[in-house]
Amino acid sequence: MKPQHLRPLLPTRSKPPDAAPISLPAATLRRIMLHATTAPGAAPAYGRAQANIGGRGLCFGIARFCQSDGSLGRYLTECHAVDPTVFADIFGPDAAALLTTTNAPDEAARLAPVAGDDLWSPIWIKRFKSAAQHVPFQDMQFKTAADVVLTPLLSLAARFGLRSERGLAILADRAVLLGVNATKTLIEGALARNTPEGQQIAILAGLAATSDLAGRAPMLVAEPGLSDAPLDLMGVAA
Amino acid sequence: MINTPASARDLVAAMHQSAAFRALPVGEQEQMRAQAAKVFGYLEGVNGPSMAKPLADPTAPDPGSAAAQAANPDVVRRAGDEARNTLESLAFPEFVASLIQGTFQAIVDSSIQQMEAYSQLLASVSKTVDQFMDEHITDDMARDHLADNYGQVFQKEVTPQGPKLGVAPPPPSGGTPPLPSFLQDLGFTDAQDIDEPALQEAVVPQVRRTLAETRHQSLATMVMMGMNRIVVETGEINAKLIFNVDASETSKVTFDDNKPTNWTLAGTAGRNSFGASGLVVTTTNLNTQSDISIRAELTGEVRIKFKSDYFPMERFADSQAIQLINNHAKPFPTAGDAAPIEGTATLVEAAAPTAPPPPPLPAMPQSLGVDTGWGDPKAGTS
Repeated sequence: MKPQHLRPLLPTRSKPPDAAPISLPAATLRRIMLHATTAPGAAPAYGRAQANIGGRGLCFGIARFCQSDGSLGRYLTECHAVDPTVFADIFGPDAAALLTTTNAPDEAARLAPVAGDDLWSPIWIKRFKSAAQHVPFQDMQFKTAADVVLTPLLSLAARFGLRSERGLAILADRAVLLGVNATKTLIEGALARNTPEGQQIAILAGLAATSDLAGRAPMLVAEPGLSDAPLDLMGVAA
Repeated sequence: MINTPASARDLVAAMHQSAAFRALPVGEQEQMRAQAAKVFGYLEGVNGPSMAKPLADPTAPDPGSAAAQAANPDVVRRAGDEARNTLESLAFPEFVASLIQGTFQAIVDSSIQQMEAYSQLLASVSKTVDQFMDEHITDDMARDHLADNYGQVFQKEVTPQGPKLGVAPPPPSGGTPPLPSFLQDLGFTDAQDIDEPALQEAVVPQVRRTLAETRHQSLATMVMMGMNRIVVETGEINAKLIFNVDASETSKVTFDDNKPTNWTLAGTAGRNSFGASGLVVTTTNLNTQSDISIRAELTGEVRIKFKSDYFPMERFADSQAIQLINNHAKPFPTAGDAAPIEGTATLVEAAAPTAPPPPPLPAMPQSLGVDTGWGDPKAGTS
């Protein structure tokens, strides 16, 4: 505790960032998520389906929306909302049960079979791969990915000076592969505040390159198509 | 050729036959006898240099012959000394001892190493597959196996941090090749399903386990065959030390006795007196050369006749371990077996029964064309 007479001389600590959600234009978020998940010139892996690896149930799509963490249910909800007719046609009479199960509040309930089959069984994977061919459902993968892995990190990213598309794309890459919480821990542990964004990006890319899950981070450092201009993150001064 | 006297006595006798010698004063004669005795004392004495007969004498015996050695014991003694010194420096007994010890030590060490290797093999096979995998099969071995055997799906990517395993891009001609069965067993339907986390979390561990199972089974089969060992039946150890001694000593003595060659006799004629004068020349030339050369050859030779044999496994493992190894030696069930065991899939492309084709998908309905704001701007659909 500083002496009373010194208190007026101390710089007043800036107000912590507003906890209100920070949003960016959909096109920007789509571009960020596209670069974070797909190599230039390659087709996005909309139909990627992984069967219960690590007990996470079915993981699907460009950002691996999984049953266990509820992100698959969130994606299916978006798909149902954007095109319920096609959704019902693809998933058939079990579409409602699919939404109910994957959005269950309990993880074990989310991993339960639907209509007698696990979601990672061939019959369900076939349906999901069919859904991946529907363009609006493809678009919803970018929206869900931004909502699930990027938006929760924007406030923290802004505090550590990651404000450009490139910086956020690296964060999104880490969040897709490591998870949101692990990425937060990574930022707070590896980065220092008041550091130029280019240096922060280099640190994250270097850590990724030496890890088991390098992802796209090392390539994103110099990948064209991503802007280095700071974005206007609402609630945080640029 | 000059005949040299055999001894001082012969020399003195010869000198007395010379009138010139006899004409010498007694004192001088005694002095010459003493000198002759001294010369032959050198020739025959113990302290002086030993001299053989001149080499030019065809009747002289060979220096290496017994007669020469008997006549010249010093050469033999020196050669013996040299041989003894050489033998001491070669340490022949130690050489033979080390040869025997080294041979037996090598045989014993070999047997011990065989026994230890078999024990380690036995211990490895007696472990569970998981333990064996943890100790002997690494992730990198699994990655190498994938890149080497499934190049159509996986490839090594060169990065600044070293090579990494990645999924091969689809062929330019389009159409992805069917995945290997073990990947299909993991739930993958095409290569697009395999990303980096899936590779690390599912593919590499599965391949690692499969490699461990395969090698574990192979080792168990080897153990079942018993321990091969080498049995020494007969052996022979030879050690030889060969000395070649070349000793030679030459001596040449020349005694030149010149009889009086210049006498002057003077008489008296009347009162004139006459005198006599004479000249006697004696030459002794002594030339001695001694050479001893010793060459030693040390040879060791070991011959071993052996045969291969085996110890039955029963001598090393109890009944429970044998039963465990028997189970490990059994091939893992394939897809066609009636009771497959979970987690024992092999990388061998088994001819699995083809599943009936899935029902055709319903026709893809047309999009409602809802503008969500998330569409691809390049596609112009949103």
